[in-house]
Amino acid sequence: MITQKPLFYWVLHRNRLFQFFLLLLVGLGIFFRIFPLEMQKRIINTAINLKKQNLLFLYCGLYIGAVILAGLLKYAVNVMQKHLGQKVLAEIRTGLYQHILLLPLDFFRRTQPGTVISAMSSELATIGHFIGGALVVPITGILTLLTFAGYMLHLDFRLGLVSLGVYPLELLILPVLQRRYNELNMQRIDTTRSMNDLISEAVSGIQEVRGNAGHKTESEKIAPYIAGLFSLAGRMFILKYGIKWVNNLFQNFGPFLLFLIGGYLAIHGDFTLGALVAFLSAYEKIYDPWKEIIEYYQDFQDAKVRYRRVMEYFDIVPESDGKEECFGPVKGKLEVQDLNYSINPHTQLLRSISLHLEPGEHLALVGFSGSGKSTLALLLGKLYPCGKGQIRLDGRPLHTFCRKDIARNIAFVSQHPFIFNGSIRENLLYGCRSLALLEGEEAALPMPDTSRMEEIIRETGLLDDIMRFGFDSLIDEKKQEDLLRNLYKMRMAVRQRLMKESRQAVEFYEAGHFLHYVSIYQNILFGDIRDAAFSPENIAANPRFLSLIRDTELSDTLMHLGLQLAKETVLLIGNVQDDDFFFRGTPVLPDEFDLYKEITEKVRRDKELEQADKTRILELALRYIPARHRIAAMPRSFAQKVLNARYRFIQEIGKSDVRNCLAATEEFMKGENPKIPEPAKNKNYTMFCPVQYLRSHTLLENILFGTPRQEEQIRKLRNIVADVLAGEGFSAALINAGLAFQVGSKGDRLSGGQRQKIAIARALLKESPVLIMDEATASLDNASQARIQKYTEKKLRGKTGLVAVIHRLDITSSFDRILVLREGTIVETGTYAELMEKKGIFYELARGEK
Amino acid sequence: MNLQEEKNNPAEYTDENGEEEYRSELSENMAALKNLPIFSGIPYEIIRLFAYTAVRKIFSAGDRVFRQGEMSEEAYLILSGKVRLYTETHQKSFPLQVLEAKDFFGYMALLAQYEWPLSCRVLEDTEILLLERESFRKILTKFPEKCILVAERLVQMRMKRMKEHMQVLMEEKESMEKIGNMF
Repeated sequence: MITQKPLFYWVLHRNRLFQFFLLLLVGLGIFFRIFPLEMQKRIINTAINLKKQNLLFLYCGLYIGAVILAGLLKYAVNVMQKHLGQKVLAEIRTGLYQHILLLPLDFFRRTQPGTVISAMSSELATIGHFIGGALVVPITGILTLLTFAGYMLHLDFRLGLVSLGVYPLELLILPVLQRRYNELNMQRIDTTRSMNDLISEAVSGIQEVRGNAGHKTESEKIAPYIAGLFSLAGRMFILKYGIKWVNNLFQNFGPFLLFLIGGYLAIHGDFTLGALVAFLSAYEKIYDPWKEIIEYYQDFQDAKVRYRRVMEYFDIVPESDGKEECFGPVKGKLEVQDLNYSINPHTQLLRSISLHLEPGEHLALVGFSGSGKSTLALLLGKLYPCGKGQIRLDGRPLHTFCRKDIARNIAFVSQHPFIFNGSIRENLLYGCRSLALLEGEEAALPMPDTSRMEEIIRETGLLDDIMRFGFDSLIDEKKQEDLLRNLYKMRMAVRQRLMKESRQAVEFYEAGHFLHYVSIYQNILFGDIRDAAFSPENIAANPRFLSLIRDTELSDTLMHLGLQLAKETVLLIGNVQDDDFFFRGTPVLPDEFDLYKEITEKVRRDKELEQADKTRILELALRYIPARHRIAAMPRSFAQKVLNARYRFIQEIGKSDVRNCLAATEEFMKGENPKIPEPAKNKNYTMFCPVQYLRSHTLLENILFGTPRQEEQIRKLRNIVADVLAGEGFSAALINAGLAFQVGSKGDRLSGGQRQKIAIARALLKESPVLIMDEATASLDNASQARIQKYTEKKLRGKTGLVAVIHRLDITSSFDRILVLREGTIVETGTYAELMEKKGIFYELARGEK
Repeated sequence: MNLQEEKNNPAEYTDENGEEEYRSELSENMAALKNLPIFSGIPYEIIRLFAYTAVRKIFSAGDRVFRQGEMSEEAYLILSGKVRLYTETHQKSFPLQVLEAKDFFGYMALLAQYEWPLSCRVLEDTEILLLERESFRKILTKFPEKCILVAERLVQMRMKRMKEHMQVLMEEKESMEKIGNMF
């Protein structure tokens, strides 16, 4: 088991060849570091003394060559060392993560995510840093140290002995300091962990924290840990730098002794000057490896403490006891015999439960809350380790099945299922894909095909949601080419249907018509533009746009309109502006109310408006949607002016030919196939043209190619479009677009019901012989609940065994058998009719419900 | 409260040439609402909020406005056209009253949600102004003392109608059952 491997396992048993090669380089490096010393001696003693120029050049050349080589080797060793460390770190991380994910669920009930996260990320990171050099650094250090020491002893034995003699003294003091440091380090790790736990708790419970204004409470909770870390860090630094200081002190004793004794010897001619220089150099060089060894010692201690702390925490045997076997698919016969389960000696949750489930049989577990229904369901799903007694699946004890078998044969849906960040498709296929990964390629079950996916999506009531997501999505132009290619066809089909059924439902984007259901801004631009200068926020101050509306005599009209809108809004809702409800019929946004009020005040007092005010007024006019903002009226000549402005905009700024679009629109409205016009010269502009894909619009808007006239009709329109698409064979494309919807972290962009339905669909897609549902439909509305109920009853009975924990008793009538639990024991068993007949506990419960 | 004269209504739009004069939908709604008995004695400013939050809807001949048994959400003022009220029992429908422009009906929906006791279908292309209960409640919370008056009017109107029906009942004892179904 990974957690029992000592730290040095990773050093000694991994990447041996690589390490050997590394050591070889290190040995070479040491040679090239000692070689220059010899050269120094020879330069002085031989070359300079004997005045031999040739020798001087030769020795100097060799000196510099050796220095460069030593440097290069050091560089290579450093890089390789870090590489090795990271490689081992990756291995430890992967292994530990696998291990953690297989730990008993019990472990996760008492562990905060923060602990796991900090262990996996920051604590292991320092260990990786250490492991890279775990072998190389001490070996290099000791070898270098020994070599230099030998060299020094070789130069002068007495002097060498004296100057080296100080080091052993240091070895007595350092470990004492380090031990104290380790203790503090351990405390630091524990404190950091507790702090991480608190943080992750506060973050995941942020709603509750906010709701209770708990930011102070949470800060208070964390304060002692922050203070604790602060004081620990202080004490640790005192020790750490204390160690450094001791080290430096001893270091300086060396030269002192050297000068004292060496100098004395040199004066008396017992020692050559060259030798003294070499000696000093050697002494200087000996300092580096020594320092490295000391640092290594500190790092080693730190890494050891961290490693032990991490591994200790997760040193739990994964649930499997090694006796598990994989048997493959089962029929799904479940038997429970005399099952007891308790969380501690005093709290027994289940007492002598016995039951059996034939393959394809449907069993309901009902009872008071706290009666142990969910516990039983979890035990059957092997999500809790089996207590006393036995659970058998197809005659074999449940605990002898390997995890893969359990996952394949038992599908479990809990009351509050987890949804992963990613697309709906990824979530739906989570179970199938995981199994496929475990099975290996050849044995893999076929992944559900499109029609199977569609069936399950429909049966679980997800189809509407997914189609809506699809309709509201922006098309990914690269991935959904089939949609793009057929867009015009879809538009046409939908339009023809609308012409038949609800002529007035949509205001189409007709290039030659003033549009009442879009803003004046959209009316003039009549297209998508990817240029921030023309965005709704900036356009009112854009000189090119301003000159365009001046030329089309729109400036004054728009200013007039903007002022009317502002005045009317202020007058109308001045007394009720604290309620956003009243802003539904005005282009003024609630937070802009005061600003526009100020402007209207200025106008009332006949004050000159500033340029900024005028911009705001123009902005308001451009936001005006005639059919929605009915507080202002629109003069007839206005529509014509807006159209003129539109044509000029398309021509001058969009650099497109409006005539092509007019022709295409006309053919579209007639139901003919237009030819595709040339793309706009301005690459950032796309006109609302029936043959164009509109980038900033959703799929539904793109297919409708217009604006729904009434908000409440969108639902109806969606159904019509879905129906038309189904008729034309585009359903799959729409569903695919919806399946690509990103659900957000923990699925928070989905409603509770949608999350639940996805979880049910995810379980059904596995097609396992046993399905366990723990109040899986409790948070669904009645219609969805009934739909799923009907599906399990009609399609799963006789095929998939079902154990369902159910709260609402009226839906248990379709089950083959009902077990009534109370205080951990089964008190009644029978069909709905039998139990009602019996007039026992179930009958009382059912009556209470009514 | 500052009561504005309708002449100064800024929603009446004069374009810069002063040639054409258009009325906004708001002022048209206003004109339709201000003479309703339920708004008599109510400040202009509040009626304007009703006019502002009212929704116009155009129905084609044969469209159903609401159906017996559906939950009531809004009151209706016919602007133009005609509608018929009828009851539906055992798949048979009994035509009742025909309502036309300026008729205001379903107004108890402003006070409470209930199941429509009868259905309503338009007889010709009809434009109806819808007053939603949600809007009514919003306005009510802003001007409680004034809107209590409106509520009072609504109940009074209802009582008056009931009295009329009682009279009809007394006069036509034979058709008691039929009309009884109306309520």
